Amino acid sequence: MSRWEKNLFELVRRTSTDLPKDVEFALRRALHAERKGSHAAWVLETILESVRVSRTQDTPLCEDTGNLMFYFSVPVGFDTNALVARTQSVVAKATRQGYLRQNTLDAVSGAPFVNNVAQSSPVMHFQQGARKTVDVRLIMKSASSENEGRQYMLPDAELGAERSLAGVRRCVLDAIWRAQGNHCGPGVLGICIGGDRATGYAQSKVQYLRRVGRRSPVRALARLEDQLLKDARKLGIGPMGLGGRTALLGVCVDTLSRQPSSYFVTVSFMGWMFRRRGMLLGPTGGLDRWLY
Amino acid sequence: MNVHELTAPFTADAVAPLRVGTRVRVSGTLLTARCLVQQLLLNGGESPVKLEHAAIYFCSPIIVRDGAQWIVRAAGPSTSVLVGSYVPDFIARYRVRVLLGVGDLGEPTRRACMRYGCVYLQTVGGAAGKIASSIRHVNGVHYLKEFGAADAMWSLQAEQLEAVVAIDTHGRSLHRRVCASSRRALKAML
Repeated sequence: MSRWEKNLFELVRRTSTDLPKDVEFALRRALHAERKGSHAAWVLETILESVRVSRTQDTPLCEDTGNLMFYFSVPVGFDTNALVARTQSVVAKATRQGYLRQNTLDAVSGAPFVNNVAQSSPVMHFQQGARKTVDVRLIMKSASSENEGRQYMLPDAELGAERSLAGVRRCVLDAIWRAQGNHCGPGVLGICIGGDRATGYAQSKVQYLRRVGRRSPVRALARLEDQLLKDARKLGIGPMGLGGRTALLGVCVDTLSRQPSSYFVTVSFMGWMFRRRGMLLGPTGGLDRWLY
Repeated sequence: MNVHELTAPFTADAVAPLRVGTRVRVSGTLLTARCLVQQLLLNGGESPVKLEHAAIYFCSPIIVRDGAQWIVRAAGPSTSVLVGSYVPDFIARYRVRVLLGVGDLGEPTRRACMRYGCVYLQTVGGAAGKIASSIRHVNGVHYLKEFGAADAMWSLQAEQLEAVVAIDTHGRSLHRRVCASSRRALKAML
């Protein structure tokens, strides 16, 4: 196994089994906010215990190891074909070793791809970066959160949502209310205002590369993030929809340009098992450093 | 908070005292059955195991083979809404007594639970490591070849698996309650 494969495998293993510190910190803070002995506190205590068990026993945080989304930023002239093949080989190995579930099916027949390698699996996004190192980040997104994603086109008369940040807030609150209990909350929302139907969803998921608790650099969007977190607490949905204060751990809002006749608001959900890791690899695949 | 020990056999008398919001620890055999298994068994398929009084766990575990043994690596619940359309008929047809999953199962299931004396227990979604440690061993597996490991019917031996009663046999639903109160809160907010 080359250095590339060794390090990419370690990225998959660690992403699947070890929750990032920022997410765990947000869960601990949420536990302090809940009433002792409540269902909400029980859920959060169970989650934190499960995180510890998975980390100690080197087992997946969640049995749904989800959709694997790799984000690569590579130097000029870098051979991405070789990187694709190495990544696929690592995913197959991680599946054989039980770090990933057999989670990929033929869309129509339902026949499983036993090693999780198929058209569009794993998902790999490439862009060219200025560095000499390869920046690779992995997000594993479970189906329960993916299924709850929603896209709105404003104005929306039913929600009374106009083309404004106040209208965006109405859409997001509708999405939170509808998703209650179904997406393994408390989790994090990735929101994109603008774009088209495809880029809106893509950009909403890119938000998961941001650390939980890090606010948007755009003041108006940061204010909206804060407002939505406060609103979600007031809804009383709580962890797993069992009631309580913590329906969300974080909200990340971003924008894309749009056409005059479109105004999309896209909301993606991420459950508490927010699996995200990253690393910088040198020109021969050696580990430069971990990200997150 | 008091915790109720719910131990197999899961008879009508065993589940009748459970009330919404009661914390329980479940011990006994759990059968995993998601969409594909339920669809098959509601469309003329014959169950390889007895389902009357059974506990059905909506779970798609990661289980690997180690020689002659199955090793459970992760075994948290699947979102119940994915099987929600089959569950009421499944309860009526097979008289299963206990369901375990995560998230709301909807009105038809609440009514079926009340009519046929079934309870729905909510476990903690994603808590795969903790729940896997409550699975003592794998008794066996059915439909592995047909549906793959994720959707096969696994027979799991659970010991003190923690859950909370989300639908009881008296027509009460925890999610229905939270859904109604959050709707009122949402209306007041907008």
